[in-house]
Amino acid sequence: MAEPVFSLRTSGRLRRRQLVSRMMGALAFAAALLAVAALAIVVISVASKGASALSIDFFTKSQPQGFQPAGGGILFAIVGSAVIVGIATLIALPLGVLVAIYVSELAPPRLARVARLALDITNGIPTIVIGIFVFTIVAAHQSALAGSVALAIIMVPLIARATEEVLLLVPPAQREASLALGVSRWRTTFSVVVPSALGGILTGTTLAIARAAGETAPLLFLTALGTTSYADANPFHPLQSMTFAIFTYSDQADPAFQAKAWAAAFTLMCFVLATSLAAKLAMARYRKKLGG
Amino acid sequence: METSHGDESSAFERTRSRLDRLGDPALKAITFVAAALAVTALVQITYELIKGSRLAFHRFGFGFLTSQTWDTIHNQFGALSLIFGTAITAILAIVIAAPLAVAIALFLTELAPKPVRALLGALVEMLAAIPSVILGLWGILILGPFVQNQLEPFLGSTLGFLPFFRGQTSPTGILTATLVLTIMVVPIVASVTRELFMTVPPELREGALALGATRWEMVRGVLLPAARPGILAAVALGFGRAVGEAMAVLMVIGSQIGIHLSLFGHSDTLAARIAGQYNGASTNLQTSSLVYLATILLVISLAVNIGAQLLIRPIDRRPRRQRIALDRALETQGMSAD
Amino acid sequence: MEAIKTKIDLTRQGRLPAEGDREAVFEARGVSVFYGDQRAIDNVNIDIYRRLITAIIGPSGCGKSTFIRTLNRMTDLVPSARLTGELRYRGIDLYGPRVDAVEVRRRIGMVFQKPNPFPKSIYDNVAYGLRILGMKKDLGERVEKALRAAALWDEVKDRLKDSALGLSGGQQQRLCIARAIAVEPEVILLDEPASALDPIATSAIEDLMHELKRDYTLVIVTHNMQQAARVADMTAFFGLDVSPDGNRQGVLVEYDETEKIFTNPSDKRTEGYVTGRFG
Ligand SMILES: Nc1ncnc2c1ncn2[C@@H]1O[C@H](COP(=O)(O)OP(=O)(O)OP(=O)(O)O)[C@@H](O)[C@H]1O
Ligand SMILES: [Mg+2]
Repeated sequence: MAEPVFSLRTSGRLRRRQLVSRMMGALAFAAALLAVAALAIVVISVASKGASALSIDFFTKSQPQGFQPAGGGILFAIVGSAVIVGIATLIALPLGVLVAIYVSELAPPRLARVARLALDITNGIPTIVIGIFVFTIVAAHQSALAGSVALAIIMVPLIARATEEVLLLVPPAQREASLALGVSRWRTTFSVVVPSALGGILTGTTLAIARAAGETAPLLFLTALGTTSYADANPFHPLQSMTFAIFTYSDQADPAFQAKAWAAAFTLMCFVLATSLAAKLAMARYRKKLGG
Repeated sequence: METSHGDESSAFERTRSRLDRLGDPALKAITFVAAALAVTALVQITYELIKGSRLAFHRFGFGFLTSQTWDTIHNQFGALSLIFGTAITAILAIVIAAPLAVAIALFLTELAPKPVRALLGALVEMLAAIPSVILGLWGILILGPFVQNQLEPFLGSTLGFLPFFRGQTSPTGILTATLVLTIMVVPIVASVTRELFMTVPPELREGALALGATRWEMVRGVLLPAARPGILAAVALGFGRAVGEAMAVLMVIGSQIGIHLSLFGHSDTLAARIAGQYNGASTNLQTSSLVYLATILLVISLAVNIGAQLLIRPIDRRPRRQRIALDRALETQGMSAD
Repeated sequence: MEAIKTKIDLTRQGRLPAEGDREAVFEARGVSVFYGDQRAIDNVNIDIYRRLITAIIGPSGCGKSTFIRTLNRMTDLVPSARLTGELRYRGIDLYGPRVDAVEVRRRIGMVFQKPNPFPKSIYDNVAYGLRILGMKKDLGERVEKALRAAALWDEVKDRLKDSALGLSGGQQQRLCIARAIAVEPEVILLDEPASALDPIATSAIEDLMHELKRDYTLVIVTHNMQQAARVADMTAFFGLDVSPDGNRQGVLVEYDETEKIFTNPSDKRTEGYVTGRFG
């Protein structure tokens, strides 16, 4: 038997290279572990501190008069958040969908590019700046409505971009099929294109709602004066939100207030994580269905 | 479509209703207005902020940017200390977060076993979804005491020869704010980077591996270079988020004016200072100074974001879904409506 | 050659009206289509006759799809597309200033290469156009009539509410034909309607075309010469022409009765193509 002229076994040099490769892999693993650990620590501490402070009263009563630490609940903030985010959605959903229809269906390519860029940049503006913007427009006059407008400005780019993405997933052949029947463009859009994309539009909107529900900064100047002692739902009044309640409670030294802050944080976190997770899963499934 | 012969006067008999014929131009007009509204929001915001900061600008000019004072009693305002606080927290946070985020993205796309990838990816995105006020609450009540009682004493005793790690330990301050911002920014950068890696075609990877490269050599030689502009953009976006974050920072930074080297000490940022004044400025000049701060913040975030977008756009070559562009059709139909 | 000839004799015996009795519905005079600066088809002159099946054949890229899409202004949907020359439909300039492209497509339906049913039920696919175009009277009957005309009724009558996406490719294509027929067009354009189908489904579509011929004018683009020979009364052969400036463009080489094109073409290029010598 002749001596083989080469070997397929790991040589010294290769062994070193593979060691480096494995070490880098281990570092990447450690980084991922760290992120998961951070999530776990935050979620677990909020859950453990928040769940124990939950009670029926917490959801059905408002803050006792005189801002007493003991008793009561955050009904005022739940209602306030629902009103503010609800109105913001009513503004942002149609606007965002219309913008997406323009960008993906009607706009000349160059304008579409400009619009996309503007939406992405708007999406990056600090939300406190948007709050200040609305604050200057309403001349410091606080109302839930003003808060809704600020949140809508945050939501429109999110909804528009998500919608645009799913509109582009609707096969062109379906538009052609409808147009070839002698159906006009706008009817094709609303009877074929938008219905096909509806699932994606709704999940995109859900994500935007989850995001808006967690915003505090844009509301500080617009709704902070809302009452805490009863559940007000008048959109022309300033109404306090869940996020703002967490913020104010966290600022108090009394442990009873901190317990309320944790409980409110836990409630909000459950809502935000559940809705955004569900929407992301639905979106992934939807993309697969349309795109694949 | 251009028409070459325009002599035809007898058109097709009309079966479409007037409403139907008006629909197309109407849809185009309405959606155009909506898009114009959304696009000009940027301009509107800039305009309103500049208008709102006029009073302060009149009074302090650009000297506002180089003055450290924030004195509500004597009505003297300046942004330097806040710009410093913003820069140091955001830069430190992104310096810690960027390598972590890229490593996480690498793990998620290249190393993690297939079934785990989606789950881990979802967990990272969940971290990104946690409202900042909750992170702030956690930062002040849980992270703060840990920083004061463990982290800062430890840093002081090991690295205390550096000016950064000296001074009074405290649950609030630059260090706590940086850590909270890092937790906020990591998932944002990681999820964008992860998507970038997923767009790198598998042939490129296989090409490198087939040449006998180890996995890390493939990552360093092929994956990272292919995704580099996108990673830079993702880091810029993360930096923008850190610069603009108001709530979480407001809750943990200690809200103090002044420039110092100690990371243990209190400080304040542009966004947090604005947020902290929500319960009312006492004078018009103070309000205007707040709007001035917001304008500075806007300018920074616009610069960072536009830069990031310009970095992303050229590599954003996802196959454009074919779509029938129908504007020409609309134009001809528009002509036909009398 | 012989085989094709026999088929023609079997399927089309004596059905073709004499030349003088044919009524032109489309008259193209010097029609050229450009995509941007690129000329895709050049100077096409053709009459397409009522209640006949006209086949358009020719090598890939010679502009068959481009031409058939000019007939109901689907080319409008390509922003860069531009048409010169004159195209008349029953005497009306299709591209005249007061002509509404939506109205044109209402009367001149189209079936595409790949079946493109909507992700709706079978029934709703056919009813879609009827509802939107306001033909809501006797909706159920109209749907049934269209499905019968498309020779699909017996296969789907028990599952009208099922999703159209569950049908086989051939059934989907017949559904698309039913959808086009339902809105009562005058002309049906078919761009390679059977090229995505297996032989059995193809044969069903071909039989259907013979049926439809009684009521409709049909124009079909096909890659398959046997198919053209089997179904068409008239055949237009498009070829590729390279002009001096290097532009590759489609031209109408020869247009005649199908039998003539396949048995005794007058142009060498046609002969080469139909006998398979090139193309
Ligand atoms: N939307 C378009 N934009 C630009 N050029 C186009 C477009 N559609 C077709 N063309 C060009 O016009 C020419 C004719 O194309 P067309 O699709 O009409 O050919 P065809 O005969 O139908 O080919 P096939 O048999 O492959 O379907 C080709 O060179 C093609 O590249
Ligand atoms: Mg074709």
